[in-house]
Formats: sequence, structure tokens, C-alpha cells
Amino acid sequence: LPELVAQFGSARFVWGSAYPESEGGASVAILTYANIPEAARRAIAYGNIERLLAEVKS
Amino acid sequence: MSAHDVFATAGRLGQPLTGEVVIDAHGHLGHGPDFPIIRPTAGALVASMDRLGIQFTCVSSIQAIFGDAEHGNALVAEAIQAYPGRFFGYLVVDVGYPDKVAAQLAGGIAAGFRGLKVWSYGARPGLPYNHPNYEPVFAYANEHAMPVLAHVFGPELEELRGHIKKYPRIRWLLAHIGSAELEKYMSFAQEFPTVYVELCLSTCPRGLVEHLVAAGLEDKVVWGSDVVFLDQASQLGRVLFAQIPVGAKRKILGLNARRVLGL
Repeated sequence: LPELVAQFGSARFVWGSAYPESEGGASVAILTYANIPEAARRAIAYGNIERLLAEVKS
Repeated sequence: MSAHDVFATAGRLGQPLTGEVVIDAHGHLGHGPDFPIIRPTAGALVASMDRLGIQFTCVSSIQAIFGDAEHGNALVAEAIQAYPGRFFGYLVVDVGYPDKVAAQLAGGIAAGFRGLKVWSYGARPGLPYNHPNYEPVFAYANEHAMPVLAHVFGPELEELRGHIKKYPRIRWLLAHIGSAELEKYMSFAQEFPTVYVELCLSTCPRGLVEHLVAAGLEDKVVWGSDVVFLDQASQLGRVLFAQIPVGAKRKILGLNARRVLGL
């Protein structure tokens, strides 16, 4: 994840868990432990998907 | 699991597991032939370990697994020397070339390797675990009481049954529980005192850790990540956020491996 954010920025990544097959904790930990700026972490965790969904509604 | 779950709290905050024994029992160093791996160096792996709070990572060489044992093992030996106290080395030997095996085993011990990694369906060895070429390998491991990490995706379990019975001084770590034949993995861990099951799996099956603990196996499960193929954080999260008692997390993340591996 840090490599991808360094290459492409954080605006085009969204978080997912592969529920119900996969353990959500795995995907959570990828994000919480990623060595990326806090703003990027929040964007990937929820900010980007909120923006995308808002655009769909409009 | 509870308000005092230090593991879940650290995971939520992205903080290292300070003060806990955390051992990654299944890791690798080096590039693989199938897909790109970002920064598969010892230095990058130590940085990952420090970020998460992992004291030891137990590593074998990807190159060695894919047929270049001597070169690959040398890279792991360099890492052991460069980062004292951070790596436990699993030696890989060329079971497909039995004339080389005795020297590779002796050289591995001298170079600081303390365990063996076997992968029956690797690109070059391509031999089932019950092939006669494995006999001197496991006999040596038994003589030296070396732990053996065995790649298993289910069907290979029966190939190992005879060795497990024959060589009681080997502690067996059966990798990738949850891949297939879950009940057989569990029955091996329940039947044989020397058998442990190891968790790493890219699919991260939901509820697996809870299932194993509910079955009474919290003393027989060891955590591993399959780094550098996989992100250590992803596999760590499977245990940090599992709905199991804190004491079971402590065993799975480090105390069991410390006992099994003699760390």
C-alpha cells in the first residue's frame, strides 16, 4: 500500500474486506499499519468511497 | 474480545506490539518467479517487523525453494549475520539431487540455520514427502532436533504421517491451515504431540482462528505471515482482531512458536 500511494496518490484507492469469505481484521491491519500519511489513511478508509457514492447520487 | 485486549487496541491504532512476544514462524526472503515482490530485502523486512512489533521472523529463501538452494540459502545466511537476533533461518536442501543433501545440511548448520523448510511440489524438487529422497533429510532433522516447516495445502498431510511417527524429535509446523482439508490438519495437531499448525494464507478465512481455539488447539497454533509474498500486517490482523481470549492470542502470536522453535 505505501508503494501504491507513493506512486499514484491516495485519491483512487478504496478499502475493502472481502466479507464474508475473508477475515476483516486482515484488511483493517493493512490500513492501520501502513506507513502512509494520516490523511491518506482516512481517504482510503472512508473518504474516497464517500466521495464516489456522493457523486453517484448526484 | 474485552476492554483490555492489548492486541486489538494496538491493531486499531496501528501501534507496534510493544512488550509482547511476537514471532512470525513463516517468512521468506528474495524474489519469486511468478509475480513481482516489492522490496524483498532483509532490511525492508526488519523495518516491517519494527513497525508491527515482531521480534523474530523465521525465513527461508524463495530462490532456494524454486531450485537454487545454495545461492538462496546463502542470502538467508547473510541476513542472519546482518541482523543478529531478528531472523531464524530455515534451510532448504535439494531433495531432487540426493548427492548434494548431506553437504547442504552440514553447511546449513554451520551457517546458523536452525530449522528446515520443505516444499514437496516446488518447481525443481517435485517430489512427494514420502519419496525416499526425503529420508536422509528428515533423519538429519530428527538427529539434530530441528523444527521442520512443511508447505502443505491439504493432500500432502498423508505423505507426512509416516515421518511424523518415525521421527519424534522433529517439531513439525504444517503450513497454511485453512487451505484445504481443515479437519485433517486439526486431527494431526490433536493426534501428534510434535505437530503444530501454521496460519498464513492469502485468503484469510473468516472465523478460522476462532474455530481452532474453540477446538482446544490454542497451544498448537502458530502465527506466520508468508512475508515477503504477503504483507505481515494483513496476517497479523487475523489474530489481533480475532474473537478469542487475549491469552490465546499471546500463545498464537509468539509463545507457542518460541517453545516450538527453541527461541
